[in-house]
Amino acid sequence: MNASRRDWTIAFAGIGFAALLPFLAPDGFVMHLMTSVAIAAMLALGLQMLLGVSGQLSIGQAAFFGLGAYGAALMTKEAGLPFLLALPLAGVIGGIASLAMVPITRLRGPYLAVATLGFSIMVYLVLKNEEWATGGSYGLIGIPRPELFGFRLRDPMLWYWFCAAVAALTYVGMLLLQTSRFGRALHAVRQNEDAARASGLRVTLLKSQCFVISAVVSGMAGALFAHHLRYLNPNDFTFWKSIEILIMVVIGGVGSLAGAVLGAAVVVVLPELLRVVGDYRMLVFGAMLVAVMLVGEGGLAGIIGGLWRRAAALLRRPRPALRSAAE
Amino acid sequence: MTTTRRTLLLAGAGALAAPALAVAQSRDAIRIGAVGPYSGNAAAFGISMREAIDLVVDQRNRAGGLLGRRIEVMHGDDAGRPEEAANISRRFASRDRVSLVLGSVSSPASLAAAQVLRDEEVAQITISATAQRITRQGNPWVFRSAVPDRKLVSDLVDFIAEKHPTHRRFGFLYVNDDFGKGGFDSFVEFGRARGFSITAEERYSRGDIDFTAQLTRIRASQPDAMIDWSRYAEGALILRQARQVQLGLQIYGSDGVAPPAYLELAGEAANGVIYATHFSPATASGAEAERFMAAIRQAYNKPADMTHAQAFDAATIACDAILRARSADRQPVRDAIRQTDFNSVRGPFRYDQFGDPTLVTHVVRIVNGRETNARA
Repeated sequence: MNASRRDWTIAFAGIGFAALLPFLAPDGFVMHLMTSVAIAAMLALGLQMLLGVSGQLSIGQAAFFGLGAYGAALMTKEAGLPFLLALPLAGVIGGIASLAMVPITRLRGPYLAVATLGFSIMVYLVLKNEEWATGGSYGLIGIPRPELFGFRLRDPMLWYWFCAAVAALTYVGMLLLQTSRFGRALHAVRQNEDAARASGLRVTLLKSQCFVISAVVSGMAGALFAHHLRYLNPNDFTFWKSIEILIMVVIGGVGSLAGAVLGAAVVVVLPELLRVVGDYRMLVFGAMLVAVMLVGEGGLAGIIGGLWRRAAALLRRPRPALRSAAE
Repeated sequence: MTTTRRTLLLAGAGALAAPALAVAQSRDAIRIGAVGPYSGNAAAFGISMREAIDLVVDQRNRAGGLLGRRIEVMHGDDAGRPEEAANISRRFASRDRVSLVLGSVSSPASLAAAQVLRDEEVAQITISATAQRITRQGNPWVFRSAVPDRKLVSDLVDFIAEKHPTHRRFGFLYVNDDFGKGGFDSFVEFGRARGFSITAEERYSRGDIDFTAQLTRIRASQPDAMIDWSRYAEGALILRQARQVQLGLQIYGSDGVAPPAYLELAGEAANGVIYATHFSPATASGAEAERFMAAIRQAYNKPADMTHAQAFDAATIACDAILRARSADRQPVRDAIRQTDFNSVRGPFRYDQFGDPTLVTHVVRIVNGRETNARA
């Protein structure tokens, strides 16, 4: 019960910070980058749902992301649908695609991971070769600017707020899910699948539901991404993208929603900050990843949690000392 | 353990603070953004691009800069990824306040950058991107230093029809991406007018290393010659394997194999290959080309390649446009670029109504590991 109150405090502090950010740094590039962080955060939350909550490792998240992105782009560009309709529909596309994964949710560990990888390779090849729809390797050009109720989101600040709000809703939704009966059942599945099955939980159904939720969130992130860059290319939806999402979750801390968001921020922002190092940029980035993994298994969430506990302990310690001085 | 953690945290804080310092350094310089694949599998193009741009800017700065101000080039590595190119372009436009942007090398990265720079109203000169559609989007802010692929292919088709009239049936091998597909589609279109036919269409994915299956099928289709639309790394492997399977056909290549790394990797197997290119020391003429080749050799101790020439011209166009505009503001610079008319290292250079250069292309043949003029 206590832990839950702490989670809500962190959530609202984070959302408040995200809402106020444009006033702290009113700069086009910062807004652009923070919008990318919001989109990445949704992807990381989607994978956290799979890996951290139900214990399923997917290295094919880029597939749902890509399907959502291309789906939404085609809906607004070719079919002229309003953006606000394309956004949930992109989630539906991701969700439907993930139903293809239902048979493989019976797989465990590395077997499941490789199956998801296979799926993402298939999606990449479709995006690259079905030129009539996707523009093939040239990419999809001229995606319209997102519109809300006939109002164009031209200002990067408004667009950032919109994406941050969608990410915040996702976060709150996942937090509610995690503490619900459904979430507790998933925890049971993660900790011991056989025991969960023996207790009467329908393990395969739970895992499949988890896959669908994760894919819906990734598909919606895709819709935001398509209207963020307004140019799509299959090269942005390769195996590397899935690995990036996995890095976000692991570096942020497997199992922690706040960690997933923090991990997304690190993976998006750090390489940009490291541009000053020039050619050694990705080398330094890699070294930093190794360093974080060495310091704590719980990722950044674990490290920060540890520091917090230690700070709290330091604050508590002086009290007996004071008392002894008074005596 | 605690000390190590503290050191790591300090190092992290340092890394966060560093960019702020870098930005604060120079306020009065004229800024030019350069985005290219300085890492990744197109890095040979990116590095040549950076070398040539740095050379031009260095020369201009030593001569007193532009409009009494120093030029500062900001380089951004896109690793060939469109998303990165878009991010860098946004930073150039909104944070670094550049006057214009040079780049990128690949067509997808250039298109992603163009989308952002059009929004932000910043002029862009792409370096090696050849996809026709870059300049056909009705985007008034984009210009190109390379000749588009359709022009290059049409010149190669003309060359084959005139110099090798016995070659009429072709096996075509290409990399399955924007570059290879663009080459293939254009070749089919222009070849039809000359009565050319394709006996086998074979493709491969970027990064493949075994092409013997495709080469065997091409040989079995009994063409008169083979066209290979590849970049340098795969192109060199294809030459070596063509020799192993005893293909025994004349091979025509694309501008993607123009980096010198191609000849280094292919070795003896490259002899006899003919390819279309935007620049070659073997076909270059004129004082500008001589001076350019000497400057590259002096600065980097290597022969000038195609990307050097494209980037050198792009940087020169940028500097001259700022001088002519008497301003580093974006709109006047864009308008001045449109008026470009000068002797580039690749010959007289002007822009057509789309922002494409009206340059001649070159065809070279490899003889004893060196490019020679195939039209001679």
